[in-house]
Amino acid sequence: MSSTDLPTTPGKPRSPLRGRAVAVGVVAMVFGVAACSSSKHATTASSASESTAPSASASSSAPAAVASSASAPAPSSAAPAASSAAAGTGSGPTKLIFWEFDNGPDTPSMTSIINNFNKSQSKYQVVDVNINYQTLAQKILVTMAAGGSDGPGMFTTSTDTISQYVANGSVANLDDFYSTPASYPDAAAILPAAVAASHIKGHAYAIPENFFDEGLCYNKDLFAKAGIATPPATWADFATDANKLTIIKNGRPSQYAIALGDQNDTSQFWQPLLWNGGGGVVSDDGKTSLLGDPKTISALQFWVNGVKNLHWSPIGDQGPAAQALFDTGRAAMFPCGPWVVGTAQAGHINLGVAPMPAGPAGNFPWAGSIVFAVPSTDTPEQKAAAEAFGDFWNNKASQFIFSNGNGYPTTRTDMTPADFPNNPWVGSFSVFASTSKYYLAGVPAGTQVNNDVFVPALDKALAGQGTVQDLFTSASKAAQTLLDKNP
Amino acid sequence: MSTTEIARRRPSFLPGHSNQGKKGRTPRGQSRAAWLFLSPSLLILGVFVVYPIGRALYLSFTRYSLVKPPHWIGLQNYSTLLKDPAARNAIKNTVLYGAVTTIGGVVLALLIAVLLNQRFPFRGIARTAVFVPFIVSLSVVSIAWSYLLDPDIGLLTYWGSKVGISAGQGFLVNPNLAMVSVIVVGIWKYLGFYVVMYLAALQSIPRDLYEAAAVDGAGPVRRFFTVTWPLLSNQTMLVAIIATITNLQVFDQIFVLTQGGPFFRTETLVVMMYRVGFQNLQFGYAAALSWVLVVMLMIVSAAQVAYFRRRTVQY
Repeated sequence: MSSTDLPTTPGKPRSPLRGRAVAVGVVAMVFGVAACSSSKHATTASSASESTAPSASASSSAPAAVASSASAPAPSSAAPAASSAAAGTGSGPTKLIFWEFDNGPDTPSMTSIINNFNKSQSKYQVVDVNINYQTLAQKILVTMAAGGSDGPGMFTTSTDTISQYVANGSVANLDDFYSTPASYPDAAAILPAAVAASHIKGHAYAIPENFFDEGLCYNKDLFAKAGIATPPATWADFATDANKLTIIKNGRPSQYAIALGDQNDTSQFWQPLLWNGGGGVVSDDGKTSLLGDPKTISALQFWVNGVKNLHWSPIGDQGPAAQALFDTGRAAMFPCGPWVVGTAQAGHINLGVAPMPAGPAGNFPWAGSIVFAVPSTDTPEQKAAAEAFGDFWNNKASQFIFSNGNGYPTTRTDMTPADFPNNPWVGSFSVFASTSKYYLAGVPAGTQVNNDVFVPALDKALAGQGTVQDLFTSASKAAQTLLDKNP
Repeated sequence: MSTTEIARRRPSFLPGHSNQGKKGRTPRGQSRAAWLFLSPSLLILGVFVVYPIGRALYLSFTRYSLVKPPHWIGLQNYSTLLKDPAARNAIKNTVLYGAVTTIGGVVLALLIAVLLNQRFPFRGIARTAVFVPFIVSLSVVSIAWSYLLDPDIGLLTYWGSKVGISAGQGFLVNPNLAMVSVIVVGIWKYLGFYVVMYLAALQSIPRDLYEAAAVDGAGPVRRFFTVTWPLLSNQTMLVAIIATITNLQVFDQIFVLTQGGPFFRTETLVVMMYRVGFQNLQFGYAAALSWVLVVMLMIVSAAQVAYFRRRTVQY
């Protein structure tokens, strides 16, 4: 029997109910629009007074209208207590819902400082909501757009992404935090580099939570096994040591010299390699692409050759995978910050920390900083609460708790590693500060330049899909276009 | 089931239903009651499906970063899209992934369903094993596969190296193997569901058709192509449409396994939408990309329905 022998049904009969279905659909849409109109109005209200370009006055001018508008569902991770946040209205303290992504050894210090802040005064109450970084990044703007009082009144982010929030007007201007010593006395004690990274075009949009210089973590046992006495001080030393530390078995590396992640979340590890070679991704003023610069090309040729051809490092690893190789003794070195100390010690790694090896241009470590940011939709009370907490966070007592707990360098100019006799790691990631640089701080198109241009070009180079010269000359043009479009 | 049987079981509000014996219930009254029962679902669909689709269409004509109100820019997002090599690459990857995964998944599902429709020891266990991946979270599945394919600790990488298959720095990093890897995971994940759908259809085919074909001298292969395959047309249409829609919207496993890399080799439209919207904060452009996907889905689904409608069978 062939298919044509089988009885077939005619086309679907036209339903007389089709017209009614359309009518019901229209009614349902009307309900939908009505249901969503309150949040739309909130968004409009919050944005009405904003200009299209980021400016000092733009981002801090709108909040009151939003706070009184319709409430929106809280993120699933928000604490129940947060749902009743008064946001500065009614009696009792102003509740400040605080979204942060600290983890590991940071958490006890964070909790302790928040508790101390809440006990130290009766005007504000910080409600801590700990969520994963990516979840925070995904939800923060949506929550702001939804309006209402259930969203965060303060959140943490990194210095390389804050400019993006400034560009779209989603974070508040915090100039008053740095210019009102009577209200915020500890602001003046914060490290100038961290303060500078919190400023965009001369205006403050963030308060530093932490500060560190990237170092080179190394496994002392693997170095000793390879007959290497000291960590590499220069690129030439590194090449010699890396060739000894890279072990190939059955055609595959069984041990890597270094775990250099090369994805979006670890691309900053490559910056000191470019800076030390005299190049970079963008110029220090953030206006010019340096990807096609001969010094950048030369530095990339050195490192891409080492990774791709000499197998110094695995390719394609994100941060956790790269760190896992170091924590399990399968990579001898890892560009790192204070967060590595705990996991490396848990893996019984005999840990040493040194500066990244100097290149032809010197040594310019990557400086990292997590910052507190305040949504532009905050009420004045919420913003004041956030600034009060930012000041409290950076006072001496809080900084002692934070740094003593997790080994981060202090954010203050008047505290030194000697103030932390019980935690020797505090000094390990602050000794290079005089020459360290932030990556993409204050560059509105920074995220796009990194994720859409630099990382794909690097991946292509590592996969042998072109020469470094060709790939990065082309990438430089793309980066410059983005920089010009987002001045 | 015969046509008259179907007619007999027709819901009362559909045309052709007999209202005899239902005193006091006019067709109009019954119809009203039916719409009343349907209204909660229609309301939910309206709020959570129809409205967002319409809103996305509006946003696709704006510049929108969530915090500021949308700024109308007409067709600018679409003209940017036409010139954007990243969008062309994403469309190409989406079509490639959708076509290979759908065709591969449907064909494999049919073959496995035919095999699992035979009697053999431990058939129940085999059926369960095929179905289990479908009930596991796609994110969990993807994380598990990322470990299996890891160049340093991956079991599949290790086994591959033993038989001379080397992925160099890793399946998910190798530009020639990354798409193949995510396609394999995509097929594997949904295979069980399609197999179950085919199994249900296979078991509804009357045995007497096979017996008649056998009496006429048809062997197993001829019986498959003259009885099984034609009588599975309805199910094939359903499976193909579901698979196409699912595969063209792929996001989870690509996001977990490759994040669209290496250098956008596995970036599909939805992954690009995420990047453009949530990383670059260009929600208007992301909405325009979403409408490209909507149009693609409409065209493909309409083509599939038109193709299979001519082959619909009833027995």
